[in-house]
Amino acid sequence: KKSLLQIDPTIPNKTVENYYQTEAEALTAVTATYTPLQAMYNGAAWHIGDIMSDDCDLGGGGGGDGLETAALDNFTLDAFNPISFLMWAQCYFGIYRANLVLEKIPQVPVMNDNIRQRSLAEAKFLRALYYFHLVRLFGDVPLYTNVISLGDASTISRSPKADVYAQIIADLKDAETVLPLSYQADDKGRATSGAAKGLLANVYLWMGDNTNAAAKALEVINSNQYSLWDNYADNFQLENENGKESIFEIQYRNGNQTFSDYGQGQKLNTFFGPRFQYIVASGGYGWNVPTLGLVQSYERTNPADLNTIIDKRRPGSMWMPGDKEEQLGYTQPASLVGSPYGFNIRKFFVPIYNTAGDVGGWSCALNVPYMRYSEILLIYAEAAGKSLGKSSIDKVRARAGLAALPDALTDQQYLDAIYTERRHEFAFEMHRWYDLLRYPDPNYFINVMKASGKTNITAKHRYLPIPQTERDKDPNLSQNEGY
Amino acid sequence: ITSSTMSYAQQHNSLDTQIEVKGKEAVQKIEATSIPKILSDARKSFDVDFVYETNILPDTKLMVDLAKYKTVESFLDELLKPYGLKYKKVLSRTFVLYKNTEDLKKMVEVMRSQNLVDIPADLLEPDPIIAAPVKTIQGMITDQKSGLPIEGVSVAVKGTKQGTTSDRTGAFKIAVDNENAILVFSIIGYAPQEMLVGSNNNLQISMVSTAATLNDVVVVGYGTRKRKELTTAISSLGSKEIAVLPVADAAQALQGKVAGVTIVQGSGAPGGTGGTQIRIRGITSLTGTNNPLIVVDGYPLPDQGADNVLNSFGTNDIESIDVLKDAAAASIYGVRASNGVIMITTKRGRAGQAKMNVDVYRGLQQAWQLPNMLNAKEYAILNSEARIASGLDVLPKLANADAIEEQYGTGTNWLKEIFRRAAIQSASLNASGGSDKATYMLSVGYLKQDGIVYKTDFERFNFRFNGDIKVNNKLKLGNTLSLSKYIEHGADTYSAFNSVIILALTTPPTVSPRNEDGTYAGGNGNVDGFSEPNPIYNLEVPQSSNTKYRVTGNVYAEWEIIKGLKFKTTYGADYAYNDVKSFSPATPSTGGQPITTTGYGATKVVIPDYLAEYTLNYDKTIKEKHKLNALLGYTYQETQYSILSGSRSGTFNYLIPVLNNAVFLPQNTSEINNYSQDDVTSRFISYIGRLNYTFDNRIYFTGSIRKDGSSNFAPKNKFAIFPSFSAAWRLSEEGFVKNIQWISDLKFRTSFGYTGNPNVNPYSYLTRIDQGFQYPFGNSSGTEGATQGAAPTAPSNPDIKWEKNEQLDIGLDASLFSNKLTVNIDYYQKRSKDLILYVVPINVSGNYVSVPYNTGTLQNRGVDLTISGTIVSSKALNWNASIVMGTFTNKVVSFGLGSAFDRGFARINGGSLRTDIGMPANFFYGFKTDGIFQSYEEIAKSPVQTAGTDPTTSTAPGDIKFKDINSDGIIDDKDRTNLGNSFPQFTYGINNTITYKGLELRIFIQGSQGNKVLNFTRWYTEGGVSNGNYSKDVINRWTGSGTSNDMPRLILNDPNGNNRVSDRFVEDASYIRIKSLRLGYTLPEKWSKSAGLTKAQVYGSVQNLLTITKYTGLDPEVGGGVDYGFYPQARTFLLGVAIDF
Repeated sequence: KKSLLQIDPTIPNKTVENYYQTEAEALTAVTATYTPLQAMYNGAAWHIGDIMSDDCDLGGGGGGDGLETAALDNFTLDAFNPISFLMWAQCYFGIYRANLVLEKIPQVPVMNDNIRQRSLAEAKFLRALYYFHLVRLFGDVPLYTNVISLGDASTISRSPKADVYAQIIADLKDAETVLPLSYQADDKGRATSGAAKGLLANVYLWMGDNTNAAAKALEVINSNQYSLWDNYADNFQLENENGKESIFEIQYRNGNQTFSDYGQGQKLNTFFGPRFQYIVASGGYGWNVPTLGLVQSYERTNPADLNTIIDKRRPGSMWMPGDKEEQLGYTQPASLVGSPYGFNIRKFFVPIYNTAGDVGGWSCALNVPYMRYSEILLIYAEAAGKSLGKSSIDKVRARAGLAALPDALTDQQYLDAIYTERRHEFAFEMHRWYDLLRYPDPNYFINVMKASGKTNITAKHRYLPIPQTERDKDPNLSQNEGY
Repeated sequence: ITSSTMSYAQQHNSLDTQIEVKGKEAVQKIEATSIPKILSDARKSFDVDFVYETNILPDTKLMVDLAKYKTVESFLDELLKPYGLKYKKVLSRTFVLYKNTEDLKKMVEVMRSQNLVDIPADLLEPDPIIAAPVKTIQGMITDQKSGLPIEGVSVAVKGTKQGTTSDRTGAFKIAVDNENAILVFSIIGYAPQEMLVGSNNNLQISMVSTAATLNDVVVVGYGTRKRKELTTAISSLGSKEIAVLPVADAAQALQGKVAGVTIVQGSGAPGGTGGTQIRIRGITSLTGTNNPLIVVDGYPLPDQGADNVLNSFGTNDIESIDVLKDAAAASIYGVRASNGVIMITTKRGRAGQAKMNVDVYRGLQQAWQLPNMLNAKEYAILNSEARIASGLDVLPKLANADAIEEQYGTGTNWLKEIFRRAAIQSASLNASGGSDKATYMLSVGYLKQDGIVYKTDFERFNFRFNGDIKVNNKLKLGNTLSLSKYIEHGADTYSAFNSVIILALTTPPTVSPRNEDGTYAGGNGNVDGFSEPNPIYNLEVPQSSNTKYRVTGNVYAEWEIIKGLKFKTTYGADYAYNDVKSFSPATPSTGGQPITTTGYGATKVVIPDYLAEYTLNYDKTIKEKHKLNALLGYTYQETQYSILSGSRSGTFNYLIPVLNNAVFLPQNTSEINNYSQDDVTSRFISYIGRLNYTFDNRIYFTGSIRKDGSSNFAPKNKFAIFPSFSAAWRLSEEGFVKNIQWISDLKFRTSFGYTGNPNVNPYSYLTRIDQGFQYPFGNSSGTEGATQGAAPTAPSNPDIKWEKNEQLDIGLDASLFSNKLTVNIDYYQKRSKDLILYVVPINVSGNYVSVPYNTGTLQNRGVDLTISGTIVSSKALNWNASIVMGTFTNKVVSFGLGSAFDRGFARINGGSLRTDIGMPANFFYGFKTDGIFQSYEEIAKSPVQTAGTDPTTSTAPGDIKFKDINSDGIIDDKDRTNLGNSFPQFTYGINNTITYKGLELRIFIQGSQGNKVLNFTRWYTEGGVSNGNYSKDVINRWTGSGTSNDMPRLILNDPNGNNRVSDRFVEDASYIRIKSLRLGYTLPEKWSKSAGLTKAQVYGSVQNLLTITKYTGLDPEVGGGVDYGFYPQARTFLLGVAIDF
């Protein structure tokens, strides 16, 4: 008998207890595990991967514009920094939802078993991806693989990095065997076995396990699923999304949500567009501006003249003064507010005439690559060593219009060549900061950043601070050294 | 019953009585016999019993022939009357003989105490059969001040049930026993009077009106009490005080009239639709409502989330407003009473001749203060200066200031364009009357108020029928019914982005409302550097209306089961229906921003609410001195909130505002259809109990308890219990005070109680799946291809429940110098606990949406003071005055699981209001300024003003210097601090009523001291953020070293952040204003009589005649404390006439 004070909602409210009853509901749980990627790559990945590194500076309008990003750029960040917090939070949203999938989907009463198994593998892949971001940026982090209560989450401690890596590897090993090689049509963008293997190769590389890294990279190469675009810039075209070179990418579309990191639209186009040149929606904010150092690192015929860069990837990656966009009749000026050399990122540029639906800005449809086939080649080149791997890096260089590496390189020279290659191949793809951290010399990132004028950097910046608001809620959450 | 069982002597037999019996006929031989003996015979003869004290019988002998009497009554009548003795039948065969009422009472009491008789209380009333010869008194009752007749005065013969009321000419007629009879005259609003009849057959009574007399009836919730019996803090306002103000919302009439009630009219929008903020004794919730519960004729109106719940009702229908302020008074309303209770009682009919009242007024309103803005030439000069300073080219149009002056003169004064003189008119008619059996009150009202902002208006129709029927001595039925409809055409005067007042402040004077061809001008960014919408376009073209229908009524039945025990049942319903429409037709020319698509939206909100109430009320007096009143009740209330809305926009065949597909057919696929629906039901089940005990009119105790259950609370916390206790001691009844001549009445009160705030959203105890995720798998570009995602984002709080409030009140009520001066003072302390704060979960949990927790404590302390008195009282001139004052402080004591939080304003990053421990809620939070940089040297020596940037490029002389509160050399978010708050130190009202013969002057002064306002209109009008017009004050800007230390240089884009929230914009908004001035003239009686009227008054009044304030915005009354260009209050001039038939 029901009490008068017990009223069921008129409009059905699904709760954790009564949801996950159908395949459709199960699939929404998987989809929700992907969505944190959008905010991560809109709101944090490039601030950390590019602006913290020697590749880019904040740019923008100056004044109070982007104070929290400036703190990363200038290594004045503290435990209240909202960008490192966004990265932290989105990773844990993804982890929680992956755990929910892994707990609930085995119990969905009626479900196609292939889809059920695939869904579980997708969740494991994503969980590994999120932990991989966390462990690299924050070091020891709370590790959990089940659905956690608020109470447990509020008392959890940080687990050693090694445990986190072990979990990542276990998840990816499970995922790589179940996930399909590829998807059709509306499922494109889901994790594939190639993505799991590629990520696993990257994880091994990080851990210094070159043997396994090379083996996994080779499995991806031998899957014959991927190949390089002839033209480097074709990687970043709307019409080539999830294309032949794509291992895994963050999916975006023109969403209705403008001025938000959390919509389905990508905001990079508006943020990276040359400041208020109106070649992108909402004018262009001119953030994330390439440094002179990066531009000077490109191979050129006349080292004294930046206009003699031979690397074909440069024009596909960035604007330099005099660069044109024919249809808009636009010429990049010699300097802009926030960009004294007139440099801006072009990699994610979608001209304003091609952004239907991106009415207010921040809502571009272009996907952002997480991993491309060229990275598999460069992982293999690095992990397999010069004798086995050089042909892979040369393949990447050839597409960029660069000569093969000389045969006479020492191992150190070869490694440095790979790092430089990665810098140019993945410029503005938010990898650079991680590469600086990964380099065998633990002081490498400090030296590089000091050389690029960031004198505030110290050893503590190896890790981001654990967000203070989280520590306020969990007494067992220790802070990284120095913060 | 026999005399032997009694302590009183009774004669049974007398041996010397002789009776001869012949056959069946008893022939009595009559002898002179003593009266006891005669009674003894009669006892046998009539088979009855007599009870009496022997000493009352005269010692004489009489000859009585018992046989000639057919009834015992006729015998007694003839026997006793000559001796002034009376008798009373107390049982079927028992008569008490007595001399006076006292004896009768005494004997009856004794009989009762021995359980000999269960005598109905009314037996103690004198028996009219043997009443002394009737003497008819007539008289005339008039108002002491005006000399006008007073109708409806109750005239009672003291100590009897007899009574009547005066008619419309003030005349009455009443029969009394004898010349020693005392007549008692009483009516609400006047001091009761007593008068000895004496030999005078034609009495002249003149009554003295009082603001709040001790015998006034106060509505306390599920019952009434006399003011002198109150143990709690309740303030009352009578119909006169309400009716003299031309307000649509009765809450506005409370402003400055009730101590401890802070009313802020945050908006002057017509019809009170902008909301009236009512705060009783501070605030009790940090996240939920702080609006008091409003109870109309016993019906607790559902919380509709808005402040203007009262503007559906006609103010002339209101008999009284009683404000239950302390917890003990309010706790009878339990979980909804934390913010106090406003009890509104509407007028009801009185038995007697029908009467009618008509009140009609008409008036004119206008803005009382508008800011001064730059003229065209000044604007051209200063805009160019700001552009040059920021490195931008001067707008070609404005390059030559002299040419601008030639072309535009002073330019468009946009404030004058949007403000206007506006009419207000009202008519109301009230009819009431009835008989002993049934009474009625009927009213109709009409109010039309045009707004002082162009194109805004409000029109209301209201009807009321209140009736009462006495079915018999035991059963009473009645009803209230109110029907109303209003239509409001409003304008956006409340949003930070498109408030038409902000637009009028900022639109350049070099833009005209219209082009020469009649099309709308302006908004052309390329030419004017300003592309906001043209305010006149915004007022004229988009059409929106809000129509509200409301039916509120109830039916009751009251049955007196036995004497003193009443059962009452009430069924009520309140239907509020809001119909909101907005239509924005495509308009080819709107200046620079043509509106190419047509949009239409309709929203229908229905809020049906039902109430069922059952109460048992028992009154008992024991031995005169002990009075008990007990109440038990059960109530059930159900509210549904139901909303359906739809909108379409696109390019359509016809510009017809309707959603109908047939006529509103889309021409292209850009049409957007939006529709939504929601229905939420919630219920209250409540049990109530109250006990009042009075000892000898000296000591009063009240205890009450309410148990409230709400469907919104978590399943394990469905019911909340709210007890209260209060006591009062009337010192003036004690010997040691009684003898002090100048103290008429003195009472000390104290109370403590618990109340609640049901601030819980339905279903917030469930862990819901958030369906608001999408991820675009597939090669999606454009707007297609989203895949639905779902996940929980907020953990649930399965324990969520009401907020709790406890309050202590200590009060003193004094009436001095023959009631010429009354003083009421209360000190209170409120502690609000289990406050709901929204706690953001640790994100490691995978959740991020904040969860409501009952945590956090808030404290309010304050003093309410009311002093009222008669300053002059003479035949011709009378002057009554009252002062009310309230002060409180408010402090967050603890957050529990929660933490300090900021509240924002859409255009300020990080918010402008903060709530933190140890501070008043919602203090202004921002930077402190330290003058203006006069030189680069000064900048170099000072902290970096803009964190993360090069101070040499972002800060220049003429910029504001902000204080480095934490002394870290950088001005950043950590340097924000408390800049004051919007709570006044005290609020007050001074009310004067002066009458001289037929003239009546009312002056009402109202004010607030110490309240601050963050004047955000200046964010727009003092440069930096807007390319639009500036205020005249900007002329005194910094233009070089030493030129200004408070108005910064002009520069667009504000690189130094001069416009960040700072003490620069926080202003002292203390004010004192002549809220109302009203002069009435009552026509001489002979004139009105000859016209067949009872009374006729013509009057004129002015609202907001004078305001003294330092505040520079449009009006110092700003609800919430942040002014972003609210609809200002008007100055209103009225002429009216009030006629009684």
